[in-house]
Amino acid sequence: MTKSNKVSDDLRRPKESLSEVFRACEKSQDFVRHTLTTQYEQTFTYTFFETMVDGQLFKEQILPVLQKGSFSTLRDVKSLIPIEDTEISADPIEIEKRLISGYIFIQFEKADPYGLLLRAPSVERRAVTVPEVEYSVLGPKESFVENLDVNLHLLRRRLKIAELTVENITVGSLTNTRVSVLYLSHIANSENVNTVLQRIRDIDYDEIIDSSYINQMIEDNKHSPFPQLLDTERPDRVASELSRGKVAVLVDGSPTAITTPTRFIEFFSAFEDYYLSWHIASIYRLIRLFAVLFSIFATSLYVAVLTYHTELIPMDLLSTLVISREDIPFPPIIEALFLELTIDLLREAGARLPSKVGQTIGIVGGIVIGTAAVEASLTSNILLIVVALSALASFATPIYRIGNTIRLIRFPFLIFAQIWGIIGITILSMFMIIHLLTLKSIGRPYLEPIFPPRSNDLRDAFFRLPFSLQFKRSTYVQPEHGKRFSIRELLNKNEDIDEHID
Amino acid sequence: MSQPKKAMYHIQPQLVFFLVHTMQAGIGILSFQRQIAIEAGYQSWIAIIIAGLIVHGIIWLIYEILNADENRNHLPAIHKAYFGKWVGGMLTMVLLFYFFFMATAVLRTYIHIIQLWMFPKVTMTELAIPLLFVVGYAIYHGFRVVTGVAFFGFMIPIWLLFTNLAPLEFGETMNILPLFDTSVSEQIRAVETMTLSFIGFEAILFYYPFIQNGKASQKWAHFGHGVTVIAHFFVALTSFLFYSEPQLKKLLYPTLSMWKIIQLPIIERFEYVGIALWLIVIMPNLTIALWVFSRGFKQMTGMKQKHTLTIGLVLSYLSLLIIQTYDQTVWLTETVAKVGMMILGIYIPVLFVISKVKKKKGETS
Amino acid sequence: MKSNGQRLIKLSLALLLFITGCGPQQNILDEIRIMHTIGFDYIDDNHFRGTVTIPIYGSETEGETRTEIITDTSRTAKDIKVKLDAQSSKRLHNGKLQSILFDETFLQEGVSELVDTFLRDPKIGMRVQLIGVEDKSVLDLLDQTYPIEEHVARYINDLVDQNIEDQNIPKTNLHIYLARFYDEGADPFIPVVKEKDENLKVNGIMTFNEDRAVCKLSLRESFMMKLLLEELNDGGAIEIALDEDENEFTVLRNIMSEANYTFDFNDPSLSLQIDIDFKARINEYSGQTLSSSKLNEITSATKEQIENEAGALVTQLQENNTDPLAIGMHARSKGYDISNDDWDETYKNLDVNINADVTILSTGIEE
Repeated sequence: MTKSNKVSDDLRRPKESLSEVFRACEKSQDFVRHTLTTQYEQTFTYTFFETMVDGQLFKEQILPVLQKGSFSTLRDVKSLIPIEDTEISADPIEIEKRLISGYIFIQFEKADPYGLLLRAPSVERRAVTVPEVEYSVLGPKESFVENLDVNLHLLRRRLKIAELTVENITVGSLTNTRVSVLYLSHIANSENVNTVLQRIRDIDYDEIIDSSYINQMIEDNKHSPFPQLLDTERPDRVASELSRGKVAVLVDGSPTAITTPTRFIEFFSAFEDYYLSWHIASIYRLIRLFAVLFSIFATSLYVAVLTYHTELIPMDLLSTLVISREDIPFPPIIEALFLELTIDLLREAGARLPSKVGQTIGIVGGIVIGTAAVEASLTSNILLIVVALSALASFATPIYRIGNTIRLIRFPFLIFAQIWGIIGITILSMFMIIHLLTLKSIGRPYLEPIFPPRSNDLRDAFFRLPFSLQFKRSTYVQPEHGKRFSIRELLNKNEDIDEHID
Repeated sequence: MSQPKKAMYHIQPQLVFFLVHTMQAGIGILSFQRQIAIEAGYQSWIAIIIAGLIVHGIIWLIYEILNADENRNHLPAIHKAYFGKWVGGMLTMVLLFYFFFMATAVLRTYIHIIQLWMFPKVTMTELAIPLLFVVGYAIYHGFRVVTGVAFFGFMIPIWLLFTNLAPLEFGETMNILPLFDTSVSEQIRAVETMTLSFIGFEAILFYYPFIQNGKASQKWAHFGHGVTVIAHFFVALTSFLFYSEPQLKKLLYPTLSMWKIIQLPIIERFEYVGIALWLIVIMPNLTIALWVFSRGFKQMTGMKQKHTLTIGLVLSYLSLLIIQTYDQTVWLTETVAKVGMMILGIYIPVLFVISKVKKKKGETS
Repeated sequence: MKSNGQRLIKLSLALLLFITGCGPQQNILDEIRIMHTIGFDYIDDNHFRGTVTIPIYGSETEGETRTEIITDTSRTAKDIKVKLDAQSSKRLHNGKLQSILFDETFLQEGVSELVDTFLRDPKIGMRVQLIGVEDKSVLDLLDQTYPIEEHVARYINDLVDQNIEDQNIPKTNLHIYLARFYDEGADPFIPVVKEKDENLKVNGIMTFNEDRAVCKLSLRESFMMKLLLEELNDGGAIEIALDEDENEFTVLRNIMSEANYTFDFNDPSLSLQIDIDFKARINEYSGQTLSSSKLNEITSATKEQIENEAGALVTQLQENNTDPLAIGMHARSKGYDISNDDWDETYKNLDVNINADVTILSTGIEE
């Protein structure tokens, strides 16, 4: 191992002796350090954080053993105590690390340089619940929870092979967060795995609270509004991605997993697409993509056409538009910005409030403010329809993160539409396309299979073709094994009409 | 470890299709039918096919030159080997400025169209700065992104070809009859004019080393050019059917005027949408040409490409300031075309002969 | 700290001003007056009167939607726009112009100078209709309300479009006018409207020589022209008299028709054979029953009438030296050189022979 030169390592000097560890711990009031004298005149000193240790376990399983027995060495204690994870240690760094994660430290004498570490953490875990962000009508109703072990359990249950490899890395100089990198060792491309591992190891930050921290820190382009790693709360989705040769990252304390490499198009596929028949799933995907385009361009086209390109409006629509605009004192851009900001305000207020109040805000905002604004001639009713529809369309994205991106990039489009009309919209669209072209996900092209064009990967992109045609893993993942199943059966099916009866 | 990395920055040979096609299709499609009609009337469709075949030959010559020696697979290196550092460098320089002015002429013409049709009061700077910025942004991220621009420059606007079917409602087959009433001298002049619409593909001379398995890309280059010829033929044919001959000769941009007749349920007056989408067509013209300029300059001077790119963009803006009127724009376009004609018609064959002679010499000695 | 905040406010205000005020000239929809129709009346050699109709859209504060007209006289086409703008509260916008009207005198004096100004303006669409006004000045025609349609401009435009689409007027618009105007092998034509009681009616077409209207055709003649001009048109109806005395007649609806032009270049004075293939269905019959002998009678009567009337029409056009049938283009497409000066003379003396081939496809749902 090369010596890392992260700044955070210098902040905390490793403690050199055991007493130094205890001195640091004793400042906390939940720190317990007691000396116990048994009936056989033997003394034990036990040390732990009472908030981290399962008190019942300590009282019922450990204390009785200590009180009854007579021991000459710690090894004897270790063999008698009915806990598997025990260790005798003298390393102050190790002991500190274990103490704060729920171990009990037992010494014969207070001054002893070594002692026995017993694992007795109290585990607070939330029950596995129904996914809320990526809800689906069909399919499993489990979502990840904050506990990493539970999450790993959910995944191992779905991929029952030994090749499902879990590699743990601890990051965050203050939080010491456990991060697990998962992949199928015989399918995943080793270069992808190494890139992910290396990028996580290179993280130099004090607090890692959630997987989204990791997400933002290992992205290829950290300044892009487009997410380059997909985050999901669905264990079934992660299991499926793993089986395609992708790499997943789980973070302790975070109910969302990250999967990578990711293509742009995947942000518009809901996992429910695989539970529905392929025609319906394909149509839904196209509708979602259309919704995204509508959401980005509708309002800016309204502004561009009404401000500059009157000629474009069909004769029959013209009078409707003019009548709706006749009493509005503002130019279309102000009107549009006002409405767009109102909708975003409603969304933000709704998201921050408890769900019941949030609903009320939505209704109040949507109906009351909208109607009032039209009646007060502040906005035209046609624009209200356009803005409301495009807001609705932006929520049709299955991945929350990309929905936010789409909401954000509408504003530059609005401004460009105001400055140069539809030419401005094309200039900015071109810029966006080029920006998407420059992006990569863990070094793999982001816009694939559109560019570079790969016909194989189109089977599961804009459309989801039937499973019988998904016999190859996507090329952009560069899997070690491309084939998913044999297609021989498919080719043999060319029997004639009514062949069974002569 | 280095092999897959390298593959990422190389482009698949199929993508040469887009690079060749989008470099040829540009601002010319908006007005070439007028120019060939002036030369050879409505029988000039023959010239499109002849010019197309000639250019196929030139593409073959270019690939022969590039494949002659594996170590010298781009023009600056070939020039250096055949003509020495100074003369070769001068020749490369001529080509680089040819590409530079090609980009400038395309940009100026496009801005002129916007000023003419959409925003009479918009200033040149107002449009040139954002456009050049977007071009620079693409080139800055390397040839892979430049190829991507070419790809989208084909995929997004290609359906505009079908909009040319709508005006056929008013088409008149009598316009192009009789089919073969023409003279050889007329056709030769029209072929000359038509070849100018096909220039630009010679950028292969510069980006050839970026292609994975360059030899395999030749068929795609021919294919790309083939599609250009078909597209031009189709546009010319529909325009000839739509306009009467004297009427066509009066219009500056017949393709745009033709869009005026299209009326969709939600869009009346399609030409405004067409002009906006045409930006996507000219984008590859600009990026590939300026990429060639910056890349070639880097190879000649040893400067960083970031810097040569900046120089190219600034120079382009400055030369736009000089070209103010429509006549000057036309003059620049025509001059670039004439130089392109000389490069394709005279210089490439000469280079081909030299490369064959050198190869023979190399084999005998 | 305070100065930073102030700077931020100033900056964002400047940005707001920039994005709302800067950029190219704006045409915000409700801050312009959209011209629907522009019409021209001839006054004398140097003067004409221009009239535009603009819709005033109603709203809660401005009341009913209505059409207003603005009119003024001028010397040149360029000048008229300025003079009309001088009367308007909002800038006049010609991007949605739908029709251009001329009075009869104007058509006879020549319209190219005016049409040319529209041609150069990229805002003008190519589906604009050029329309002639009969018996009346354009100003009087536009300055009236018609019960059938709220906006006079829309009324005129829909009227002409409908008659081109389904009835007896051959297909035309600004593009076709120009294509024919520039081509030496054909002459343009435009539809003509006329006041009828309190409404308007399409009353045939005017055909041009160069830019001057020289010949007016009735609706029936227009239908003949449509037969000679268009392929596979589905529109137009013709009344065929069977027996004038007994007032027996039938109305045929055109289903499909095609005209074939064959030249005989060996003939020194050039002769032309036009074969019309006319397929129709019987729309109306005044007699009792349609027996097959009656059908044969109708067929032969129709053939005779079409041949006679089409022949008369061609002769009339030849006499007026106008070629809306594009006979010149037909001759050229067969390889005849029409670019020399004596084509006009050749055209006048052309020997035209018409043959109609009539098929009756159906007789309606009753026998």
